[in-house]
Amino acid sequence: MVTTADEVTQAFLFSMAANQCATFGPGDPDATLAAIVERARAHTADGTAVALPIGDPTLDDLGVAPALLAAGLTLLRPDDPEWFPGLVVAGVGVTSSIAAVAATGNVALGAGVGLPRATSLLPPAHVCVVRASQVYATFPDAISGLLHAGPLPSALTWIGGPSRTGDLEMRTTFGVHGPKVVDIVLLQD
Amino acid sequence: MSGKGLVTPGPTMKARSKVAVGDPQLQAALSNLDLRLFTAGVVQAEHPEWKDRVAEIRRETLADLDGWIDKLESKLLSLGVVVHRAATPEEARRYIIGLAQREGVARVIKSKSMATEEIDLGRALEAVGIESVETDLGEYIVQLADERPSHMITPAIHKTLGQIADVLSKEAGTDLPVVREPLTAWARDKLREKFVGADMGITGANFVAADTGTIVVVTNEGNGRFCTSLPRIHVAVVPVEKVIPRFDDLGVLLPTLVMSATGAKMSNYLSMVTGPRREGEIDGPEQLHVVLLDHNRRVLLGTPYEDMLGCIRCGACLNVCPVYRSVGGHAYDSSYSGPMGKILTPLVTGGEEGRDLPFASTLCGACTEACPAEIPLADLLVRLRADLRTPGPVVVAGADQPAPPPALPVDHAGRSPAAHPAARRKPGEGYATPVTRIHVPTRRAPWSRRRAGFEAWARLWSYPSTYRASLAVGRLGAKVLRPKAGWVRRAPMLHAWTDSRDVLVPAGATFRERWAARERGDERW
Repeated sequence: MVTTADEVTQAFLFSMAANQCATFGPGDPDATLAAIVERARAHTADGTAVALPIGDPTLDDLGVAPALLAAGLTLLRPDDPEWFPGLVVAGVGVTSSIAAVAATGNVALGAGVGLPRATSLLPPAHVCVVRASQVYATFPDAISGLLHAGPLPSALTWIGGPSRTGDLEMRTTFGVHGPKVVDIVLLQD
Repeated sequence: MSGKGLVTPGPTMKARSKVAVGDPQLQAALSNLDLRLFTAGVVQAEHPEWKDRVAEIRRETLADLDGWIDKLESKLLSLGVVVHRAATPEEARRYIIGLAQREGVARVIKSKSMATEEIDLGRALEAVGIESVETDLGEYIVQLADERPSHMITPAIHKTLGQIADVLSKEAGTDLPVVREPLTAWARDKLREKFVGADMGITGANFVAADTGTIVVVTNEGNGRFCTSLPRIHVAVVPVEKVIPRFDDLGVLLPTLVMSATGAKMSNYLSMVTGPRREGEIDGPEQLHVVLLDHNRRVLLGTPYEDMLGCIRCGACLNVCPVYRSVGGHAYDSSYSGPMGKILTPLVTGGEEGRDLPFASTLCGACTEACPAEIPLADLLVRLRADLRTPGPVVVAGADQPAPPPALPVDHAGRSPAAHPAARRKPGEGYATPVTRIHVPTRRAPWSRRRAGFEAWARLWSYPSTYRASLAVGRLGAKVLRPKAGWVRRAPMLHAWTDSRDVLVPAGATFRERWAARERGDERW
């Protein structure tokens, strides 16, 4: 049974790795930022853009946008009139989560103004920043927690890892419709 | 159903089953079900308390289904969702096609949904010239092959990888390798073209929470996310029993559903949609429509069949069913197959379809055991067999049942939910007998030679003396017939019973006789 915050964090990373995600952290803000930049660079090595929301409190606090620009990467933001066609060819979408679950290994993303649903859907890779304080031990805990945290967003999307299917002779095959790669960067806060 | 799109065609389930067991490709494909044979037990092993909680939530919902539907409807309306109540599949299709035509929709992308299968929506859209694309990989394969899904979780389970490669290669116009990854990659690219620029996304709903108006769609591939995020119109087709009282109930319902379906701890993606896109958001549907489908469901409230509405469509009963595992989904020739399909099909079609399905069962009870919602499936099968004896709509046995509520749409004015007879039922209290026992219907079947035969047999074996005498006769008969092995298959008049059965030639003495001999010190035993 997972009890302390530290154990919850470790169990979360273990579950995400079991779901075929690459995991980074837990780290302080500097280490987290460095990991985000490194992953974004890796996924855009072919010169594609990094899709980044506007007004995401976690990403703004870390200063992700200036760091990515300083690293010489191309940013695609939701206020760009070419956002949607750009997203179709972007290399990676970077988001934060509003909750995560240790036992089942999944992260919850909320849609909102500046936080489009498609950021974590269309690009072939997804980098998700998770605050350790938002990791719940179990799925029922997270559902109750989100319910009491305020009004539900218009779209609440739970992600376990890279897109997969069991439709071909019931054997798991990755990379169907959603991202083929999911990186989880855990911020110790 | 029309019999269209089946790999095992035939006029009856029996005939289709015969085709199915003689199809080596189908049998090879069905052997993959072995991978899901034990998934139903995972919930029981890891979270034994969940099944009771799920059953409790479902019974609480059904005890006042109309009340929860009303609550859901007002919540959805307050979120800006358009709600349409459809009493029949025809009404649901008419509403959705009308909406699509009014909005100038050229292409619809569909996420796998049993409800849209039930109302045959995809074909109805195609019939009026609207392109309808199934986006779940298995469902896409089935659509390209012009077949029907054969399993509610894994629609193309009836196909081997080689057959799947053939279907996709034909569409691609080139020979794709018989390897899962490149086949998946090809489908990804192909369906991407379809996602972008689709005007309408159609999904079902695994659950809809009455208190928050949240529609939940469970997928692994991400196609559900596309269908609920990109098109400007999202239509969710929701059978009325999909409503759950509270968002908080999802905490137990979702992991139980997923674990029972695949054995995984959680599905890869969950889309929880609460209303259309909001002010300032740049994606998500501008219009969200919820079609609440009744289709003979609410008339089951207050009857012993009410429990069937507790089904959460996990497919666990299919995976463990010896009949399903032998013949596959197409032998059922209905949208819903397996044990739950045998019960639900005759009920929702008002007895017009699938009347022979409940009889294609061994009554082994594996389905009842597997069901995470604790539905007494084997009991219901036995009951339904009795109730289907009279032609026409299913007549529910028992004189004490309350009058069924009227069909949707309904005038709720002045009717208190508590006045509904089902509301008196406490959570956890079932109409049907305990789940581990097969219930024998109280209504006596009409006289027939078969019944007289069974009754005579029952009397004969009710007393030790006549039982032993019958065995002696049997042994004598066996001795005479021993040189003619296989005779049972050719027995006249009994062929319905004997076609697929034979008897082994009995041993010379019974176990009891051998035991008695051993006690006497007879060394031969």
